[in-house]
Amino acid sequence: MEISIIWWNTSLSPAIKPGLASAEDRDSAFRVIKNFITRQIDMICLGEMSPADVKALKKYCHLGQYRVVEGFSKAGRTAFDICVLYRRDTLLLSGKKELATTSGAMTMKVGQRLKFIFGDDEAMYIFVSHWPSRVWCEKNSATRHEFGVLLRQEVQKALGAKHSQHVIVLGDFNDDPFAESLEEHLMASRDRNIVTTRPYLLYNPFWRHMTSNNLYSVRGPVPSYAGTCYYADGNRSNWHTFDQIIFSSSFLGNSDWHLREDKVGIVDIPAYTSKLAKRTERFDHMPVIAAIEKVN
Amino acid sequence: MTDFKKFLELGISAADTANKNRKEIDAVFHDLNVQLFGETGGKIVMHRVPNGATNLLSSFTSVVPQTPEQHNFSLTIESTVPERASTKVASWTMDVAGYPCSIELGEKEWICLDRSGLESTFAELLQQPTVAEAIRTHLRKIAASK
Repeated sequence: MEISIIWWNTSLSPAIKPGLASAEDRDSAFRVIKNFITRQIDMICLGEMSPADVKALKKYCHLGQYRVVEGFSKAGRTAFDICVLYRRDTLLLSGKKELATTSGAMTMKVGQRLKFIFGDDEAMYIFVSHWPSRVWCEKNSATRHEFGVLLRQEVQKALGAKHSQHVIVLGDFNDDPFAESLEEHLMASRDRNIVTTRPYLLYNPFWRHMTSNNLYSVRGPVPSYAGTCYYADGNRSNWHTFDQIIFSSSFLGNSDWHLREDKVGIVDIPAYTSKLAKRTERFDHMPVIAAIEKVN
Repeated sequence: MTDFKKFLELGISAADTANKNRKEIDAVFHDLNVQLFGETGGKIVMHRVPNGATNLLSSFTSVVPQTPEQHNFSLTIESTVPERASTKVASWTMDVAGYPCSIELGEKEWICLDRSGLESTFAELLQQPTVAEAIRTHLRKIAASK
């Protein structure tokens, strides 16, 4: 049995400025989501969505076996902007929690925790996060570290005393895998071996996806992307790998469920990918995908 | 030789900070209840009740967790007349150091890191329909009992 997961920041309704997407933008985004549905992806986690977007999506395409979990509630002066589509024939949602931290006048949207039952009545915790943009919370700021610490505290509870529970952390962190918020505070490592032997660590396979999608060769193709998020005004790079899917050690040989790392990556839909570099388009994130499989 | 005196001093300092934090949290509950009391003519307060407890604690008394089990409380809306009655509206958890403390209501969990965070969380909590309905239900029962 295999379970596939996608995360995509759709850019349709940022929490700061919801409702500005045009009908054409929605059409473009929904075509991408329909692609996921056609591929029967088991869990499709979407960021920068709104209740109106979900309503429009349901009109645009028949969701069939998919259920939608909406997470749009108010959080201080902002709001959560995440929804999750999941196949009810493979996953059973058994709990949902929106996690917000308040400090001073600020409310920090740590993320949303969903508990699914899958396979042979096993539980899996999914943490879906969308951290603040670097426009509002600059790189390496104390607040970004705090997000990592706070998310780690919640992940720790889900991992359990023996760190053996199935936990997947995904989203748009607005930080690359090497950022301290993720590598140090969330404890998401690039080193698979150390995660296997220190099960309190998480494994971040997206370290592999921080560069061009093809190797240089004199007559080779020009890369179409070099990360998951395009930033037109970058000085050193136009690309970051802000969107990641991170795994607990239970998927690295410590249980019957295993990461299919050959199926981890960035989803390239050429008609969509080509929009990212255009300043006239609102889209700037690539979807990311991962899969786990049961091996007895 | 290990300098245990240094660690003892750090421990005492941590205990002082924890005590200060708990008093601060008590003060926020106190302020909330003074206003609730005033707005409802002395009829409604909010309590922290240890889970499984049968006796209601005074909302104006410091709540110091004695055991790990006592870190988990219920937040209840309580009417003071004609007789005490309470409705649980949320769960309350507090670290031994005071902060972080958290309030859980339905699908939402607020983790409060300081006084301002706790105050803004209470502001959000009072806006939740289930809390307002609990207050309204108690007020109606009080009015009906007259």
